[in-house]
Amino acid sequence: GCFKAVLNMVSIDTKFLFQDSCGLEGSIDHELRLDEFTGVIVPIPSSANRQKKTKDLLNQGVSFAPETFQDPREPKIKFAHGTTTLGFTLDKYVVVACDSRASMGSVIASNTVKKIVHINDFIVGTIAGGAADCQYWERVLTTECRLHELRNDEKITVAAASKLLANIMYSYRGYGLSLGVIMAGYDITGPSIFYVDSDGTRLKHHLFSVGSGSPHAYGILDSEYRSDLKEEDAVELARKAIYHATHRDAASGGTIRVVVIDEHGARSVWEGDMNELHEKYQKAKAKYRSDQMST
Amino acid sequence: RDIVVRFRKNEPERSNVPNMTDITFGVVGKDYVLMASDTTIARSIFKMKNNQNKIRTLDNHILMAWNGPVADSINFSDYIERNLELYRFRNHSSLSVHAGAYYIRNELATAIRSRSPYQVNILLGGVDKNGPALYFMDYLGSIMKVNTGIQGYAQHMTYSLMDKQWHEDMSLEEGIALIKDCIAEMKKRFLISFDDTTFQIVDKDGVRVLDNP
Repeated sequence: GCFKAVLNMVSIDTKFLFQDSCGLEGSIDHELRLDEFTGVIVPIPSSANRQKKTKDLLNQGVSFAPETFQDPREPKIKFAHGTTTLGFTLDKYVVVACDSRASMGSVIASNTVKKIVHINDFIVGTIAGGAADCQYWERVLTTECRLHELRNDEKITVAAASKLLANIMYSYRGYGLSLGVIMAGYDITGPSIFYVDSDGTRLKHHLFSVGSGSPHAYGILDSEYRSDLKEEDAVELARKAIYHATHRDAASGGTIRVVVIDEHGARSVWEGDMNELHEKYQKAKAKYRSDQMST
Repeated sequence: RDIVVRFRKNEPERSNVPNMTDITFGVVGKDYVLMASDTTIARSIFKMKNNQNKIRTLDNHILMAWNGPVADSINFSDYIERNLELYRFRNHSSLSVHAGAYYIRNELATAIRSRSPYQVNILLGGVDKNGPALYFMDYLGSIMKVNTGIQGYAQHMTYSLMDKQWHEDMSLEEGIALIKDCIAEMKKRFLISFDDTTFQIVDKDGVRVLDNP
């Protein structure tokens, strides 16, 4: 209901663009157009069936029919999940950072969402995708991890916890769950992060970023990440990456939260508004330029 | 009666569906089977991971290279690996490569018309008392014993190279050179880039990874 009301308020052209950038379910077949000026590939609805698609949408609401799914001939580039989360491992600890915006269409529902869930003292999960799904299933995972501790008298490893969640997700395939979780923690094998998806995908790597702002975050992370960073530099890198993602992505913003997990457990290291960071970085950039020009 | 293969209804759009972009090769040589695969995992237009081993070792003497969405592939590989181990525990001997291949094919064929089919294409290679053998398997449950096996889009680009260069009783150097030529062709012509590849070989001594082929 709310979704339809929002759609009616916004004009037809921007409707499709908003849907894409906010990653809402229900898809429209897009053509891809290369903007010669900027070199960006832009999805636009084909003019031939634009009216029909609009009418369908407005009448039926969002459609899950197979024919509106990804056409193998015309793959859509779709950044789903309006958020930016990231995590990376260093030699002896893990850094996890998230934004805190929840968007419903073109409306910012909240700018203070807690997207980092503490599963236990040593393991943390992030929220991306469907907020309800993530919150509920990470809560279920918390209870399962606690049961593991009680039954086996040892702390659960991140690998085991992520496998528990991945198996649950795999068994619920086809039910429309939407999750993109980064599980990060420190256990007997050291620091590790896993990416777990609502498809049942589970991947282990040293660096992940999930969400609609993740491409922007990857740009900063890939250029500056090193596995031997000191903690202050690692936290600054995480902050900077989320800041740049929130700057460019409409569906990310609010306060930036950074958590560090080491052998002593998970602790919240920094929380601040991204607009304050913006001021700080712009001032630093201006100062750098004026220094350069004066030398 | 029409036979319809229907995957899960109402499945939300899966951004890692293009499983044809996984690259795996398998070559039967004199007394070995050499397999190579790329190591990239992609989601939509991004590479999420670039050091994923897509060739699974089963039972210490069989290599199984998988192609397909990560979730299906890993779950299916785990399931097969553990069932083969269970067979070994129960019967005090491992399944032969031929029997193992047909067991896997049976699982795929049973799954295809069930509620949740596995979208995994398999290349299975192993060496036992019958010599080296390579099997090509499809997610629909087809199976074919082959000398040169390729999965995915790579088939279009490298089957001709394999047909030209493969011959009976190839030495290890010739096998490595053949696969390297195929990889070079993929790097030249395939739209989707990949950085690393992993080479694994199985012979009568078992399975090992070739670090610098």
